[in-house]
Amino acid sequence: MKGSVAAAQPSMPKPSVDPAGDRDLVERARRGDLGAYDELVRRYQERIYATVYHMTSNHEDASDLAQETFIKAYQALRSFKGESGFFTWLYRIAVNRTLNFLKQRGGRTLLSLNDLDSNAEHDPELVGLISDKNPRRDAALAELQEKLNAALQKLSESHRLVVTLHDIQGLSHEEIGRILDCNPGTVRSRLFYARQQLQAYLADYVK
Amino acid sequence: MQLHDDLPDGFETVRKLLRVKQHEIPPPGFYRDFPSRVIARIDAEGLHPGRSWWQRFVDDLALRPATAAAYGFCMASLLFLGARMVESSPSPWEGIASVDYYRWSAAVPAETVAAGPRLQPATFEFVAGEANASSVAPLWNRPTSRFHTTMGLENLHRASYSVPYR
Repeated sequence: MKGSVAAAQPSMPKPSVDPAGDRDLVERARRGDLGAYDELVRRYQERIYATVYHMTSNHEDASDLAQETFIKAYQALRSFKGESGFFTWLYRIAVNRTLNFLKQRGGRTLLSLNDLDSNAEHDPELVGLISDKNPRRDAALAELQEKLNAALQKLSESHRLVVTLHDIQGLSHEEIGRILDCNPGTVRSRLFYARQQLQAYLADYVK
Repeated sequence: MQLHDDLPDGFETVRKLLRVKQHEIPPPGFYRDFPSRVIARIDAEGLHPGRSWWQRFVDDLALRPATAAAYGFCMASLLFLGARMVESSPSPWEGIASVDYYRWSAAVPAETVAAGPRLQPATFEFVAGEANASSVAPLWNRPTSRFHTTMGLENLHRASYSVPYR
């Protein structure tokens, strides 16, 4: 999967969270309307898949876990009380399943990385960091991708999770706190230590 | 300790490096096919949340004929045992029921009835005391119950009977 550069695709689109629309779809899905649930899957598949993928650094595992998340969520729809948003509830399921999976895997990591989209080569922030490392931009990016994923896998699961949700997915500390059932201060603290460790692991790139 | 988003230089670089992760995308068509894969699995495994336990039970039986047969056998056995228990438990009408006579009569084979002269009707012998009690279970065994008194049957006595064959 690595090596080739895929067609341009917007990176990490942030689907608008529409609680009212979600509630209606959830209600219909509860009554057995699979079309409504299909719509919910379409709304959140990218975020859920990406979260699991960044946690595992393995496409196949992420695909399986994302599927299981949506299936588990469908089975548990009756227990969804609506106290939190559907999005938060779904994230909780994904995070719990992923953490259980990683626990079972017991620290063994098999990277199966996705391709980078063509926008990566033109991302000014990235270009500035890699230009002097390797004259071939795509090769330099591939190398960085591999090192970054390896560094992320060295973090503890709780630290990797906050980096994934905040720095990659763009969720706020409060949203992460709701998902992980902890206060935003804990999220900030974990994020600080995670970044500190990443800084050390990626010392070649951090001046 | 820096705990907020105004990142020091090192952290700012880490944040920029992490942008690589945002450019990682799954194989083409993955998101197009993903919802239908999820829905197909839900459909195939019959995981509908709105179904009652009874609907799930019936669907399970439809998918597993052997289980359905086992459930059927169990239910039939329970019905049979229930019927046997009802039959063997004492009836509240037992003390006054004279239908026993008809039951015995009904048990006489048709050819015996057709034989005519050889058939003798059941004889009923009303006895006054315990001394004459027959080995056959008495028809009236609670002659002084409240029911008998209410119904004006307090003078009924124990009876014995026999059903002669041929």
